[in-house]
Amino acid sequence: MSLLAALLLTGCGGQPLSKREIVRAVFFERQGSGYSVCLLLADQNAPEDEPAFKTASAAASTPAQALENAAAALPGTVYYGLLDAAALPADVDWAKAQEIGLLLYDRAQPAPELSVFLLDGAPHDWQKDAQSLYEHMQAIEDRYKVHCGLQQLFTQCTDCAVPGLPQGTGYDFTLLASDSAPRRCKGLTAQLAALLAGQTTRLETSFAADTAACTARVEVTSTGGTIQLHLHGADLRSLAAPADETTLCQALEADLQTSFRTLARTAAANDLFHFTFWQQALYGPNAAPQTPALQILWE
Amino acid sequence: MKCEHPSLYAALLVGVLVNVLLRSQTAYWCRAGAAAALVCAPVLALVGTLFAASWRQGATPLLRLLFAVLLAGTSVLELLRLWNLAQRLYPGAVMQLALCLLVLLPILYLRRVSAISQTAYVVLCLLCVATAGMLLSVFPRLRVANLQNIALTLPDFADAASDQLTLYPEYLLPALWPEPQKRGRHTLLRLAGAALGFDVAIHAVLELFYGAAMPLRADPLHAAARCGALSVFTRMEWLQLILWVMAVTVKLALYLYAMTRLLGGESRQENAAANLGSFCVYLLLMPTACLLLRGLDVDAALRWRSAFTWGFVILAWIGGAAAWLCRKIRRCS
Repeated sequence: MSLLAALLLTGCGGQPLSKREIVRAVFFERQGSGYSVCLLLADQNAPEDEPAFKTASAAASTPAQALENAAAALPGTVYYGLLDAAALPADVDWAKAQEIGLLLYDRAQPAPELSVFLLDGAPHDWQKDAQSLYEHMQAIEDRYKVHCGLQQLFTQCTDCAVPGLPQGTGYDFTLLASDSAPRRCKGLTAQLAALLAGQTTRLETSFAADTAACTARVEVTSTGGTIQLHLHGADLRSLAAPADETTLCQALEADLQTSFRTLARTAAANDLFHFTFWQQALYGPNAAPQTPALQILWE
Repeated sequence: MKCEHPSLYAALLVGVLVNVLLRSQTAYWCRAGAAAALVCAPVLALVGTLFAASWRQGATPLLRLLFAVLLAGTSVLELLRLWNLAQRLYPGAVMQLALCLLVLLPILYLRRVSAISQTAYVVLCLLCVATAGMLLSVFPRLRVANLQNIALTLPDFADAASDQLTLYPEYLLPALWPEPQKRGRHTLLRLAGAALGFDVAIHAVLELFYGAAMPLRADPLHAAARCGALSVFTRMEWLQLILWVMAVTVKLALYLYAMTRLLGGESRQENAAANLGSFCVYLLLMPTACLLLRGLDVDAALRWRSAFTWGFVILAWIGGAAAWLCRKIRRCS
């Protein structure tokens, strides 16, 4: 009798995946004083020769409400279990990034690690651009091996760093801190910041005012106040007049040192690149903070 | 199969490891946990040993009934915890009754203590392999700089100690086994040490993975496993579910065996199978209880369960001390 009651009352909560709205990416953008949200969904009914994605978008005064409205516009139950990319507004600050990150934590609970990017500053028509933005994010991840998981917005209490979609080539990198304005880095500085933040192990960028290019696998180590950049298998090419390798090496080193000084100044108030952490690990918590220095090692 | 005194250590270990693996939230920073574990492991072992000593002084029918209620209640909570986890991680994949039957039906085979013992070793090996696989797959995402180097305060240690001093029935079950001297030395100390050591190690991995965000993440271990390089944790949901089901099955089979001993008398042969009739009643009651309690806040209920267990242990100590005193007085007079 108990079994019969259980059979009758437990009900069937299951719903096949094919009958759900499967979200692959979510985009947040500022729209006036509010927010616009776009959901990029897998279109399970699309014919073979048509795009396999569809979009749903909505606007509201808060990101949470906008996300709610976008989901409500869909006929089926929204499923976030296969969500793998999220884009935050281009001008997002630390507090808003945390708010949107927590919102994604709540909604996208069953999903594996998300890749988080910041949008570029250009205006977007979601219906036209959502798929290309998603593919652009994936292409950047594949080519530059840069990855910022959702949990990396929260690994430090007062700051975080997020790669951004560029308006040109490569990728941008934005430093967000609770006590200062966001700082968006580009080019070599962006890639060095991503290396120092532990979000990539690949350097592929132009340098020397875009007259040379470099590709290398990079490892970052720290000994007290010195950050060591190990460049493995570096491939340096001149894009303008032919130049010998020593000249290119010197030019790259000079650019890296300039970028490092800029980043160290920017991150001086917080510990975005863990300089203080490594110093404290080596010299103890009460050691006087040293100015970090960069050492480049060709290997 | 017909071993005279099958070791139930593996089953007890699976029981306590399940508590770590299925937890929905982390409880402390790993440095605080490591320090607290040095104190809490011996305390738990001591509590279990004193309980066993009190129990042998003569457990009253009331204590037996309370212990059986504790085990039955914990069984329901374990089923509900697994159901909630399945709902969060694999939404819509399995319904409650199906999950209950998946867990409970194999207990039909696990009614003998020797079967529990053998199966527990297999499940323990599978859990170890799955945990090692998960660690290897997330290894590239672990960062030393994510460790929290802030100065720990007294509340941090108190949080760790309060979590680690959760008294699971596994620490009390050895009191029911006959001839404890034949079951290995320091069983409870090894059990508490392994459970807390594993708990602290998992917290350390999660701290290396999540950094300051660790306390925020729900189901942190499962979420971290899905971020790893092995697609087995993202794609093969049924494989994971079956692993959790097997572990919970061993745990519940052990509880059923203990309940049989408590309610059916401890004089029966140790390796005798639980009565089929009582198993059918158990099989009917568990899903019904889960159905009626499906809206229960399981985390809050588990905290209440721990408080109830502590109360029960204190009652058993008082009963044991009183029985010992009575015996002394009778001998003197």
